[in-house]
Amino acid sequence: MSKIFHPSIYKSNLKRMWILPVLYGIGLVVFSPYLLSRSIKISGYSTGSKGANEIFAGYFQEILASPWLSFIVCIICAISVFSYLYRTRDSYMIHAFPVDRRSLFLTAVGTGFTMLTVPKLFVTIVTNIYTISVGAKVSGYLWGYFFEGVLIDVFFFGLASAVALCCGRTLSALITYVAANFLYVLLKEAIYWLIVKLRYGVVIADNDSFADVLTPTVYMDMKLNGTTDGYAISSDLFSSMKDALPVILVYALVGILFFGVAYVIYKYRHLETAGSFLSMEWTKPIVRWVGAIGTGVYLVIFVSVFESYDSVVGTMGSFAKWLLLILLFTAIAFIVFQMLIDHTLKVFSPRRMRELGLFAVCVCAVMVWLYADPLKNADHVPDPADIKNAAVAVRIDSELNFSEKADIEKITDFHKQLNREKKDSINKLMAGKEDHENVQITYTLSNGKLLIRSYEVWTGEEEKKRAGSVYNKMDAALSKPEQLKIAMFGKNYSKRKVREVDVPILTGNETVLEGITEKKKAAAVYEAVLRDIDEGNIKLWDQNNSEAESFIDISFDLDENDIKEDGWIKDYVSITIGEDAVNTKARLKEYGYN
Amino acid sequence: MIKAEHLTKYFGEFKALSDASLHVKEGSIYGLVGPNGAGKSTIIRHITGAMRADSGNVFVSGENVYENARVKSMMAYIPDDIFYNNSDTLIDLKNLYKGLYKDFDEELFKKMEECFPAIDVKKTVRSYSKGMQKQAAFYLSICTRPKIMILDEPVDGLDPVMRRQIWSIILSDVAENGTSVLISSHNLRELEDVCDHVGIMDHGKVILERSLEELQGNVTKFQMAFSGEKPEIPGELDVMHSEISKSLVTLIIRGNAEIINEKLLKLDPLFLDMIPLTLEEVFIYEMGGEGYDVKNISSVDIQK
Repeated sequence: MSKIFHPSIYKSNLKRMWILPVLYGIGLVVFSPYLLSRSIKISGYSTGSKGANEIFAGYFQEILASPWLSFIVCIICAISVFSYLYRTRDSYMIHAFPVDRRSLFLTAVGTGFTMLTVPKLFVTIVTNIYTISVGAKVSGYLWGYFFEGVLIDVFFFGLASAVALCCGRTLSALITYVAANFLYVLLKEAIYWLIVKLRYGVVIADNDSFADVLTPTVYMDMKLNGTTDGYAISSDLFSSMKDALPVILVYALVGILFFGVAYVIYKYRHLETAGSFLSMEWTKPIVRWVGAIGTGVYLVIFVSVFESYDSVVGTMGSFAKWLLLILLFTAIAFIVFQMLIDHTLKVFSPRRMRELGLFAVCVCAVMVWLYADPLKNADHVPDPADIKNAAVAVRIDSELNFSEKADIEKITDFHKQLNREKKDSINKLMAGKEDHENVQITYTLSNGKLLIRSYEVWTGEEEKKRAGSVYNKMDAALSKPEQLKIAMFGKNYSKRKVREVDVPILTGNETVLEGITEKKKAAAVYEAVLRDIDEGNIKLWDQNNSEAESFIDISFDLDENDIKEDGWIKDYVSITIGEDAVNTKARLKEYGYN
Repeated sequence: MIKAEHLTKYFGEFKALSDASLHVKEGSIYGLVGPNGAGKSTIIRHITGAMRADSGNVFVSGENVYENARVKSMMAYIPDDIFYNNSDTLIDLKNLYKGLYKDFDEELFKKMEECFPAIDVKKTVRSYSKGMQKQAAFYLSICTRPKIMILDEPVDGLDPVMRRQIWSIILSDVAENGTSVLISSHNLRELEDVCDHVGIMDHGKVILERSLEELQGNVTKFQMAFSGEKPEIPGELDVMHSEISKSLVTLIIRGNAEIINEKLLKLDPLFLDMIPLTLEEVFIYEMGGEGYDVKNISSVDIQK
């Protein structure tokens, strides 16, 4: 029975790579106490206050438990500790030593964890000393984030090790690892882009959270920051640290599984592949194809940036153009990847050409399917009986939500009309007509699925005058004061505590914001705004219309402790008011703002 | 001591080893020779346990060597390109080897400093010349008290003095400790002086394995001169190579030299010389049969 861990190789590894943990540690220490002290000073919070503690917690998370930082450091660590596998000389030499692959693997993993954890532990201790010295009681935050940071490292280091062992070259490990972390989401976005291009006006999304889970860096960061899709889920960062723990634990367990995969790969890895792009035969077609398709689609997206939007929608000619471009770019990427894998320019074998031919047939089939939409997926409008909630986003940052059957029916009605008028809408876009507004409709179905559709709505005078136009139907369906107030200020709009109201004042040629800081006055302005919404004096279509002369934007600074109670994230809300907002204007005039 | 049995290894489509077998007896010095690309380094990497064969096995002292740390601790491997981490000092490497080889002799390491005065153990291996690096590799390897030494091109690229030094280290270790040695080299002249067994590899196969004595005794060069018409060489002789120049006939014949000599005398030559072959000549003539013979430049049409 041989040893499972070799202290002499471990020491030799650390001696060789000492610069990495030292630089990492120095970086963390410089950023931690230095930036902390600056931030507290700038914020004006007194040490030990809740605000100061929030700032501390934010920094600890960014420094000790940042998935992004962990992502980068773990790549470097994995590539470093398994670097001997990328050099033929080292690879043969170390495997001729009286050590088996299991102990070499465990020793490399041990070295990596030391390089990841010791700097983190060091900075935790230094920061702890610093915070205690300035009178802040935040040790709980610190050690909590340290622990979570270690767990995040377990996940990323496990993933990085599995990828690094698949690859024969350092660079390919890097490329493959980044791809492994982001490929799913990037490909999903690319496919959406294709669908939008081919089926104008349609965005389809089923469940975003699944995609997020497969992008661990983003997902963990979101959980640690206490947000999901822009909405607060925790009352403070310390709670979000606790809330994020189960998710991070699951990732850490997956990380352990990755270590298992990495070990199996190492055990069966051929050493003669040290200089190859990939070390495992079975990964070659995967890399060749996923790399080729990914690169091909992204190149097409890149090219599309230089094309006007109008020229790519709708027409059969555009469809053929994009189809050909995708085929061309993917074929080029396919050949390049094959050259990298085989280390030769001679990759035009009949077998590879057959593969490319098959690919071309598949791409054509998929594109034709998307274009023809035989299942009428693009124009699908769910039955109102199957809809739990319909949300419409237009003009304002937040959506207007409707759950009453009558309201939902109105929305599906104008939605159907949007589909019917789609062709006409495309023609107008292609003719370069203006006065259109993007509207996004999101249905939450009874089975929990989301169905999202996006369109351009025509909003010019002609549409306003035309009876039964989509604009008029939307106006009738969406002009609900209650929904508008919720969309602007959250469910508990009536209980909001306003800290300040900012009003634009024209001084000379410049417009500056002046604040009404007296709480009583600020509350009175807020109350007047709510009354104007109720009386129909502030409308949805007025919002973000401040370019018009008679409209101005006023902003409300809301008490953040109050808004977090009902999960509302916006503590600074801007609304647009026009001449009709009589109550608000009167109140502002009373306080000296004309 | 070492038994490599029916090893086959593919690198992609290329067959690097093709049913190769090799046997090294305990206490012997085995020279592995063969043309470039014959598979010498590949078979050595299998014997050291670094490579896994597609089929076949390597046994050392009766145990399979792959992933067997205990067996590998009996061996010292010195490749052409030596060090695992050449930014280490020799002291660092000594500490590494000490942790890896249970029989590492630290006392010997100290004593051997005197044998290698040119080597500064506190300097990084990278700062040594190639010859010094080779010496340092032997220095470390010998301190592991190996039962088997596996050397891939041990004196390649070294000057004559350094070569002599290296050979002297190998031979004294064999003499003092009975170490078995497997050497791969192109320098047949030198191998001839140290080896007692020789294996010849070509196209991934060990085509011939003999003791040096047997190998050299089995192939002999005969030179004869005839006055008139040259008689026909008896068909039962295993002639590997023949050259006729005017009255002089040179033959390389495989078989018992004395018996062949008697048969050739019956042809009534003006004179007959029996000349033993060097290992280099044996190699060239044996490889000639494998299509690797030296082409006579005059026989190749070099005109446009």
